[in-house]
Amino acid sequence: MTKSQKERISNIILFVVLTLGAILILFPIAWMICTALKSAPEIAMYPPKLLPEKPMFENFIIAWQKAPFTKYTINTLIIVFFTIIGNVFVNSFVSYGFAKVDFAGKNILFTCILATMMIPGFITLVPTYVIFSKLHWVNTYLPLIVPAFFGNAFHIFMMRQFYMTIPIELTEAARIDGAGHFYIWGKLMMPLVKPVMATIALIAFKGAWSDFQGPLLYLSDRNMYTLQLGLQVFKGQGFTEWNYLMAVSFLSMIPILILFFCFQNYFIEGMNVGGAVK
Amino acid sequence: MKKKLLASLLAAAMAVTALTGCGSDGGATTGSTASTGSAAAEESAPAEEAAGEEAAAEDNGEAVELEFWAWWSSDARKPYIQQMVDDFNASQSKYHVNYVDIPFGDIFTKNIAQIAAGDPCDIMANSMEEVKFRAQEGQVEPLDAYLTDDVVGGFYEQYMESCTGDDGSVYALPFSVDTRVIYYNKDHFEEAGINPEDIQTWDDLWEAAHKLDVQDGDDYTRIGFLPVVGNGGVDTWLINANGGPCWFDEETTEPTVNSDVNKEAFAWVRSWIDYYGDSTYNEISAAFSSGMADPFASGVMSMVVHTSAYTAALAQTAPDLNYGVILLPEFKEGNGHTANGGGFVLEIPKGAKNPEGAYEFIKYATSYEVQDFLCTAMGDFSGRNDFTDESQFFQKPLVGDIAKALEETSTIIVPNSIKGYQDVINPIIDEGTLGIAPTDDVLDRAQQAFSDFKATHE
Amino acid sequence: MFGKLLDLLGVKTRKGRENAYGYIFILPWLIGFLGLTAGPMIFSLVTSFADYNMLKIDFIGLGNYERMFFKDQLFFKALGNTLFYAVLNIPLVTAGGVIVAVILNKSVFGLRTFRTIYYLPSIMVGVGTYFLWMLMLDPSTGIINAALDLIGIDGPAWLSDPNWTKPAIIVMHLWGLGGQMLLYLARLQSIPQDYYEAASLDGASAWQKFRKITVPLLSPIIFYNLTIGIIGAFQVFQEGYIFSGDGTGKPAGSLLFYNLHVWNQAFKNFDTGYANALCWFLFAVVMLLTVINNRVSKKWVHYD
Repeated sequence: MTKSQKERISNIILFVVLTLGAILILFPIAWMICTALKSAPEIAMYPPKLLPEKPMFENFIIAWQKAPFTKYTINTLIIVFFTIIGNVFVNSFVSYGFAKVDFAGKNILFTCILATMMIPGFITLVPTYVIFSKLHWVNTYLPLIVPAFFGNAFHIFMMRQFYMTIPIELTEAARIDGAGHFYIWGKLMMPLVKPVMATIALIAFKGAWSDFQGPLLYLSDRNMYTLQLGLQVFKGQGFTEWNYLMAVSFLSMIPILILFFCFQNYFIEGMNVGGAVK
Repeated sequence: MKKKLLASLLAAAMAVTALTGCGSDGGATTGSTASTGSAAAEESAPAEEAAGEEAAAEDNGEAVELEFWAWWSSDARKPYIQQMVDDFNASQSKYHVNYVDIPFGDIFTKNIAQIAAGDPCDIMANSMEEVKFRAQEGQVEPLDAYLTDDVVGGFYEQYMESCTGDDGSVYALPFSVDTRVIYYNKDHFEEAGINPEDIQTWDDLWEAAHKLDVQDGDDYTRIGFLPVVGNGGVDTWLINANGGPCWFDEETTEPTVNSDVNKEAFAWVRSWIDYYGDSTYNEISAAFSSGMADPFASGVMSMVVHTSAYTAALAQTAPDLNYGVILLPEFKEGNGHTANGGGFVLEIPKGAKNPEGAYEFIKYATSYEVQDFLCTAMGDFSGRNDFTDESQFFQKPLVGDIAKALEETSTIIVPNSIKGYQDVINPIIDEGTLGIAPTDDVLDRAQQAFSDFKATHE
Repeated sequence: MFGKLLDLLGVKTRKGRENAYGYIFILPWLIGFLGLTAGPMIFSLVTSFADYNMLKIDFIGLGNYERMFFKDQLFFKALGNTLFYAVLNIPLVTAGGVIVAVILNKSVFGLRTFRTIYYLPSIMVGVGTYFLWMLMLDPSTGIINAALDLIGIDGPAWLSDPNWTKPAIIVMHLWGLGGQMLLYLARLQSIPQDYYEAASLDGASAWQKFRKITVPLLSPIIFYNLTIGIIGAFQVFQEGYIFSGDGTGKPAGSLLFYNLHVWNQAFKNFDTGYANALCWFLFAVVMLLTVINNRVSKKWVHYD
């Protein structure tokens, strides 16, 4: 067997394995769509049937109109927009400090970052709420947006790891040439960590898009509701309209999907740091 | 020296960032700071406006704004709650109530956060079983200053007792109550030749259920009954057998977990699962707990224990199902058809700014006319004692039957001194239900655990 | 410009400049930490020494900590459940993420689509997903057992069997490892192809290349995911809360995770002071593990 033949066979095996995995992965999503197309009695059917007798495509339209979902989408986008801006720039800035600047107290402060991740959110939920309430920020988007501009512990840690993979020689050489840290960060590092910033943007998008607890806690005015809050309209006491819930849940996934499919090269390609050094 | 330098540096840096930005090097940062600022300005403007409006409204002698929080958000309920609120607003000019629906569960988290911040809503729906506990924890305002005898006299004593704190003050009024009954499939009963009225005792139930079973080889294609799926639990049957609280003595709060009655009743519950087999039980129980599939609505089960609210679900999931209800049977003849039930109340969270207006609304929402309207529209039951056969609500099918169950319903209130004991015993009881350990043994262990719990919580 | 400002302030030494730069860079986070995060954290630490129900505070010294070890009947059960879950979940999900990323870094037909599909579960969030999983894990009608049946395995009752509830949750998490995969992919893409070519010339096998090139180069990201994984595993909560229906960790307390226990104390029994004590004990445990992980990492994490 020649080398290329071997490669072809292993590629086919790989393809089959990936396809099997993909089927398992897609199954819940298929079920989600099928549930969206069913009537209430069909959903309650036991044993359950995967496919609806007569797919009710109108469920998507009915569900979307059960609440002002278009408005909720716009509201969510406003929050998402600012959250992404905050996350992308602030985290890349702060994590540069932790990765590449040698300052006193760095280790202790970095431990503090880790520490903030180790306390479950619900423990600090009430005191944090009290702070925002005293600031009169309740029922505005501020409690959902402003924290993004103070950096996110997970993202800072993640970006720090990527900065750390950039050889120290690169920064040292620039410093010897007399460049300041702002220059190094803005002109040398930013282009290198762009894919990571894009990944953070994606994670931040997903996070803000699907956040439920935050909007729930801080928004009371129905005109300000987000998509996730809007979904609650389908949940009743003792009975949930699963078909509509799944329909809108599925529709709300589409933007992230498109984003990922179109820009995936941007997320994962690049970071050719090795190449940059050579 | 070093610290001082650092401090001045920080201060200088902050000033620089805030005023001028960091020049070209920090372009991105400057941009982001600026956009935070503008976002802040944009978002806070409407909030300030709203606050201003509110103040103006009070000055002009216009209606005081009140917020009413509950979780009824679905088509089956929200329009009627909204209607009730609108009617209240139209009925007087002093107060204007806004209805805010927040998901069940999360609403309580939000409520406690707002109480802690000193800015709660004005009227809140909450569980009846825990009024006493919330009163002790200082989360609710007492209603004594506003209550009159004619209002109190309109409710069943048992429910008013649930709304009264250990200090003797009344903290809430009953808004809706529920109970448990057995729903049965009329077609299955007819086919098997069973008269629902013949099911009076636990033995009758066993006999009827197994007449309804349909088997295909070893597999059941139809199951007569399983006591601990749907909305039934082990406690449903033990409360029924005891005619009241099953895990503790109401007077002394001493644990009664391993009483003879409990041992016999629990063994009976487990015998159903033994009969159908663990895998059948697991399947049916998994189906019900997913909240999507419903074996009773699909005709795979002939009988199921459920609450009075189940009719609303069945209207959606099985509009053509021909079903009826019977009371939970008696453990032994003459023992009583006791069901465990609960309910929801309306209350005023601690620190609410307008308790007087909030009370006016609560009084309105729990009045006979409004309750008759709401019960008829939503299928809930009322804690009021002045419903008659002439009431609009009682003209609806099944309502009369379920109302009979309400008369034998026991609302179990856990005394504050042993609050949390269920967390300790439930996992142990579960072992008995699942057949991991013999039921007698499980009850003995749970009794011990409860005693230990009590000893450390005094 | 900032450099000139430092000159003006008389910060001339390299050390002084690094300090100044460092604090400028971390300033946004520092403000948020001091202004928003630290306060509530310290507050919860302080109230862990008190009888506190979110409205009233009554200091009781070490009472809550004493109760945790000597009186709480559920403490060790909850801790045990969480440890069991963590020990299984962390290595499986970490290894799974690396393997999938390495496979999806190869050139296969339909790569773009596969990457999207494998990433997809990590954007499916919300309570709806948990209910979908309840259907998938259904002992008789779910797809998981149907798939196992195809290869001749009689699947367990998953969420109904106390022995299988935690593995069920891990299966669900394996499904959602696309988020981790993405990070590994980003790093893998930056590994120059000539590393592998050089190794091939030296006659290295695929496994050797994976061990000697891929893993070391991925190590900073593996370290990140491991750290986050440890922190996350000890905070598992939502799964127990939703799958057990009533929050008690059904069946038979097998899903009573540590944080579910904390939640019940804080928001069900309003024993928030005690909940905070529980929380800070776990904090100490996780911090210790993180420090150990950090120490050990110096041996295997290569930054360049």
